[in-house]
Amino acid sequence: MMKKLNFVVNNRKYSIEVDPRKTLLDVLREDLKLTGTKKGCGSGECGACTVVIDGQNVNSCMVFALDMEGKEVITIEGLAPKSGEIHPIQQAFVDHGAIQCGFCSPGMIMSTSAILEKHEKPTEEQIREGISGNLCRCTGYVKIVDAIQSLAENK
Amino acid sequence: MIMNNSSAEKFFFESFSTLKETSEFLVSKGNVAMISAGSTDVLVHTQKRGFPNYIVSLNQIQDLNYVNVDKNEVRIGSLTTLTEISESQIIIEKFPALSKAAGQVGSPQIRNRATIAGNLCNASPAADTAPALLVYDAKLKIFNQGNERIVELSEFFVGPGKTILENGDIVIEIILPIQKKSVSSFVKIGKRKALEISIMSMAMSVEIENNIIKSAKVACGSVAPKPVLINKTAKSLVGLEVKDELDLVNAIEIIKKEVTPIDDIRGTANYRLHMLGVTLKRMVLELVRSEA
Ligand SMILES: Cc1cc2nc3c(=O)[nH]c(=O)nc-3n(C[C@H](O)[C@H](O)[C@H](O)COP(=O)(O)OP(=O)(O)OC[C@H]3O[C@@H](n4cnc5c(N)ncnc54)[C@H](O)[C@@H]3O)c2cc1C
Ligand code: FES
Ligand code: FES
Repeated sequence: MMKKLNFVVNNRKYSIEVDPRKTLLDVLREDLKLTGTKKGCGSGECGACTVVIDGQNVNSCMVFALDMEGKEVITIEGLAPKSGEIHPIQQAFVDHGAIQCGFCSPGMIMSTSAILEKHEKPTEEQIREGISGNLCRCTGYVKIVDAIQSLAENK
Repeated sequence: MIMNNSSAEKFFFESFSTLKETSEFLVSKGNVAMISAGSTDVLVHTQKRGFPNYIVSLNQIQDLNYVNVDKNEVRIGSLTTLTEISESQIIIEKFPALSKAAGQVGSPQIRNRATIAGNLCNASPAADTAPALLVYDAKLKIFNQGNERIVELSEFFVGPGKTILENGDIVIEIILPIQKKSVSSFVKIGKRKALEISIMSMAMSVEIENNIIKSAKVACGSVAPKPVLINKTAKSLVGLEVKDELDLVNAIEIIKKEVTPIDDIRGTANYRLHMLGVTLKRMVLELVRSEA
C-alpha cells in the first residue's frame, strides 16, 4: 500500500505518497527526480548513493524511504549555496583533478561534507577513513585526498 | 520468516511510537512481519529473498539510543549506532574491544545507520560486535508485550541467522558489567580495511598481575556457525606467566583443536586455524605488555 511520507530534502518540504518497498535512493531519483545521487551497487558497498542525514553520511540505498519521516536529507543538489554556483568542495575537486568519469563524485563529495562537519581540520588518516565507504574506479584516490586536504588547509 | 516478494499492495511498512504497540503488532502478524532498525541487513535480505508482508520499523520509538553508566554496569540502548558506540568515551575506556569492533564494521555510511542490536539479532557468525560483547559477559534485555526478561549473550545465538528471539520480542538494551581489572582487545582479519566481512575475528579480555594471567575470556567470529566463546583455550591461559611467545605454544595448540572452522568464499579452514594461533599469540603478548 502506498504511504504518505513527510520529509525535507535540500531545505524543501515534501509530502508525497511512496511505495513502501522503496529505498530513499529510489525515491530521490524516481519520485523527486533528484538524479544527482547515483545508484551503483544498490547494496551498501560502493557509496555512490551517499547523502547526508542529520549531518552524517549515509548510503541512501540502505534506508527505507519511509524511515525518513520527519528527517532532513541533503543531496548533492542541495550542497551549492545558490543555483548556478558550485560549493567549495566541488570547486576543490575540479581544481585538483579529483573527478574523471564523475560517477563516484556526488557520493564522494557528500562524504567529504560529512568529514568536514565532523573534523575541523581532518588529518590524511581521517580523510582516508572518511571516504573508505566510497569506491572510485578512476582516480586512484590520491587526487581526491589532495582535494579534501586543500579544503582542510584553507579552513 | 516468510518472504514472498510482496507487491506494493501486499507490503506494509509500519512504525509505532511505543514498544508495546510494536511488540503487540508483531505478535498479531506472526512470521510475516520483520523488525527493521538501521535496515542495513534487512534491505540486503529483501534484495536476496524478497519482502515479508510487513516491515516493522523501530525508528519512531524514542529513548532506545543511549550509553548510560552507573557504578557496576554500562547500559547501551538497542538503537545506538555503531558510530556512536565506536566514539563513546566510556566504551573506548572500559570496553575497548567493543569500540574497536564497532569501528571496523562496513564503512562510515554503514556504521552511521547500523545498530548494535541489529548486529546481534542478525546473528551472522561474522557479526563483529559479538565476540567483544561475549568476552565482556554481555546480557540482553528483551521486551515482549509489556514484559521484560534478561538473557546472557552466550545463550542468545542458535546458528547462522538464528537466535532465541520469539515472536514479539524486541531487544531493548545491552548490559555490560564493568570489569575493573581486565584489559581487552579485538582483531578482525580480512582482505582489506573497509567494507570487509571478517575471515576471522577474535576478542579477548584478561586480568594480568606480574605477567601472570589471572583470568581470561576469548571469543571468535567466523569460525563456527555462530560467534563463540573459546573456553578451553581461555582456561589454558589462566595461571600462565607470559614472558614471550614460547609460553603460548600450548595455548595455540589448544585453540587449533578447540575450534573447527570451515572453508568458504572468504578463506579456507586452514588459513583460519593458522590465523587463530597467530592472533591469539599477538593478542596475549600485546595485553601482557600493556600491563607491564
Ligand atoms: C555493505 C555492508 C557491509 C557490512 N559490513 C559488516 C561488517 O563488517 N561487520 C558486521 O558485523 N556486519 C556488517 N554488515 C551487516 C550490518 O550492517 C550489521 O549487522 C548491522 O549492525 C545491522 O544493524 P541494523 O540496525 O542495520 O539491522 P537491521 O538490518 O535493521 O536488522 C538486522 C536483523 O536484526 C533484527 N533486529 C534489529 N533490531 C532488533 C531489535 N532491537 N530486536 C529484535 N530484532 C532486531 C531484524 O529483524 C533483522 O533480522 C554490513 C552490511 C552491509 C550492507
Ligand atoms: S548504490 Fe548505495 S552503496 Fe552502492
Ligand atoms: S571518477 Fe570515475 S569512479 Fe571516481
